Amino acid sequence: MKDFFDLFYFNFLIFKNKITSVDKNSIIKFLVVLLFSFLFFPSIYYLFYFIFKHFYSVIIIGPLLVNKLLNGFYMTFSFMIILSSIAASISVLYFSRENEFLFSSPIKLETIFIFKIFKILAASGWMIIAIALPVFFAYMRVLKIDFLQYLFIILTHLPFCIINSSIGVVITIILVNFFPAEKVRNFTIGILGIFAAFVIIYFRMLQPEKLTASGFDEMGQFIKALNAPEFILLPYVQFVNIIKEITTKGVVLGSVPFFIYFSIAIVIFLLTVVFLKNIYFISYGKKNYYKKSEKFIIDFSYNKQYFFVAQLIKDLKYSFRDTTQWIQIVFLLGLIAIYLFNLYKLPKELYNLKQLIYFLNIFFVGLILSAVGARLILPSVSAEGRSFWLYKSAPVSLKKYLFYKLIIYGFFIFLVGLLIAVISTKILKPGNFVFLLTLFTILIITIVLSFIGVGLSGYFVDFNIKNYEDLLTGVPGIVYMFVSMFFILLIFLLESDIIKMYYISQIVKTKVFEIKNYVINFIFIFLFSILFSILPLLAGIKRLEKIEV
Amino acid sequence: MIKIINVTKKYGNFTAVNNLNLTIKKGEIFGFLGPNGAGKTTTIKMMTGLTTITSGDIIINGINIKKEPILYKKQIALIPDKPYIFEKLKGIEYLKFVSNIYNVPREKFIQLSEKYINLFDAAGFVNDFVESYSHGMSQKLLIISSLIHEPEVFILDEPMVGLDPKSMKTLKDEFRRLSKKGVTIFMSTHSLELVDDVCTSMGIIDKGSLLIKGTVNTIKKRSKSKKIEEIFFKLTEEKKQ
Repeated sequence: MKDFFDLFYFNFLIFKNKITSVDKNSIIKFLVVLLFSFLFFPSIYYLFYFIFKHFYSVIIIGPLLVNKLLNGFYMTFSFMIILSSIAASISVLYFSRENEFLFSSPIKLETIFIFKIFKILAASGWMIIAIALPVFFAYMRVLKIDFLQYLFIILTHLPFCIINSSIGVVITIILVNFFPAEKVRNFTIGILGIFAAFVIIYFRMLQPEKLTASGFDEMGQFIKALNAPEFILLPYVQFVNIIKEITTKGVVLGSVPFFIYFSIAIVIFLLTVVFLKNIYFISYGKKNYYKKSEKFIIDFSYNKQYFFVAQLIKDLKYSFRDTTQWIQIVFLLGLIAIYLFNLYKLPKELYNLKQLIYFLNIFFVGLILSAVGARLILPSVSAEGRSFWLYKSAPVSLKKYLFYKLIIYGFFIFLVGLLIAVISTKILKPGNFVFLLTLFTILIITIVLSFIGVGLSGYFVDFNIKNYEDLLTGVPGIVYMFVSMFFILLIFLLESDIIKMYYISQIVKTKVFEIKNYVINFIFIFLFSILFSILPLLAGIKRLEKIEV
Repeated sequence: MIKIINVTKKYGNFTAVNNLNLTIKKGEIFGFLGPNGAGKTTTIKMMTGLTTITSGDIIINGINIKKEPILYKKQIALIPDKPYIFEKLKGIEYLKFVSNIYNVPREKFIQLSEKYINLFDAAGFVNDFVESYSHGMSQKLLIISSLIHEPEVFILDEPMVGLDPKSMKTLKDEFRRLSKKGVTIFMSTHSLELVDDVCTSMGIIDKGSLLIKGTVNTIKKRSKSKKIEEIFFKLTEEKKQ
């Protein structure tokens, strides 16, 4: 037991040192997360308060609907905890630097494994619990339950997390017996990202805005679509049953299934420890095992290519082979799909304003493109990692290198912008003039956003970064979003004058609209574009030239 | 020929390399010795463009890195101390990528890649992803990639780390062969035996300043010692005092 607490104390010290030695970047990141939390948690809370309240107003089948909804949610959470605990298990069990020390020390293996599972539990469960709690606060407010029931329901999350994390640990050990640990982690993170994006898109497609008291049919359809398997042995089904028992029968009667559930969790936890003790070291020996190529003939075929082509081939191979990069694409596609869906489901009463909405669309397309830029371009130089020494020591100018990034990413986000513009044109059917102005604007925005992205990617380069999200949520992401939004806003303002006069001329026939009257607006658009393009790029080149690899 | 003229590198108030002057003739194998933190890797980084030079000049075959960096880098090959390679590429793909960057013609690539892959026993792993490589395998891949583009100057930081004895011998033989062909080799190392074995000239650096330089034989004669080890400890201890 003493060893166990020593291990905790040792980790507490690491945690304390991390907190006490925070840098400016970490503080900014923390503040950004805090700001998002302030926006995110109340939104989740009120959304679910609204949903639960309406469900309970439906006589007889209301609680059944709630039950189904909770099943759907906790099935999702269950799946996400399992996936995150696989990702966490790889780090904690296979790549942690403390492993050599711990396993060569005279500490009992059981103690080490219990300690490690607790670490995995904390790493994989906290975020899911953070999302689940506002849902439950809303649920409890609707049910008006007492404090003790409240406490029991919150405590029920612990065995729920223990069971799912233990399942994740066991799956990890089995997988590492067959695949390299690094690949298992990357693949799991990829699946987790794709799953999260899928859940978000799925809920949006269910159109929760139709869930009004009068819209019972839509509500029924909504719940029907939320069908989840209800086999009694599934951890989330048991979890939801306990919640139901506690809320309907009270703590005394409801605590019986609670304690049974808790005991099951402890048994599963202990079985996982036994499993680890017996199988872990077999898989540990295989953690870096990569299947050897069965090709014995070396492909010496080689055609001299320009740097541009060679780099493109390398980057394409990398994107295809690195599953963590797939998440970026899936998130972007999800974002675009949701945006276009929103446009498609525009309330009919707003259709008279569709020309105006189409113009406003430019601004939102700009925001989407800047999000695309932030995810794809901003980490592009850092993604080369420590291998960047090759570019610095090779006869390749950094200007040429950044120019390549500019062309490739610029072309990609232009395609994204064009796709959105064409589909939104199909949906809103604006006049030719507005469509052409949109195309022009998207072209300008994509070029400038690519310059800003590539420039800042060089300026904020960090070759040691492992998680690109750190760049997006840190100072680089904030600066990028601020600069690009400021630019989009400027373009929007300069064009709004043109659009306003165009619409007036469409309504008041005596007013003649002539584009030549707005030359000054276009001159300013070009000037701002040049300014916003050149400055970040020069800053990026300068920093890359100076940075030590 | 490599010329390092009055080169200084400062990080804030800390001077990592202080007014370094070195001339290494064409075809020489130069061993750069020094204790940890002496300034060896910083010197190599400045010589290869991985970091900027605070003051002074580095010139290879008459081309100054500050004035014509691309032309300068066309002549050199670097093998860094830590073999960071794009790990999602296969070994053979990495060789092709580097060869493209250095504009290696098709015939030369086919001829030299096959030669060096066989010479360093790399045929068994060049079809695998770099992420599966051991330190030694990565080191071999870097050596092969640098040999394929036939540089006039090799700059190596601890090249023997991770290599098996056979590959070490192959590399040493290759150094000697290249040196005879007029290729200059600048090598930082902690292995005094390696310097004794292959280097024609050497220099010892400590705390950013060069303590001694010259051909290996001259230094031995001047120091009245047959062992480089004795010379190294004597000089670095003197510097401490």
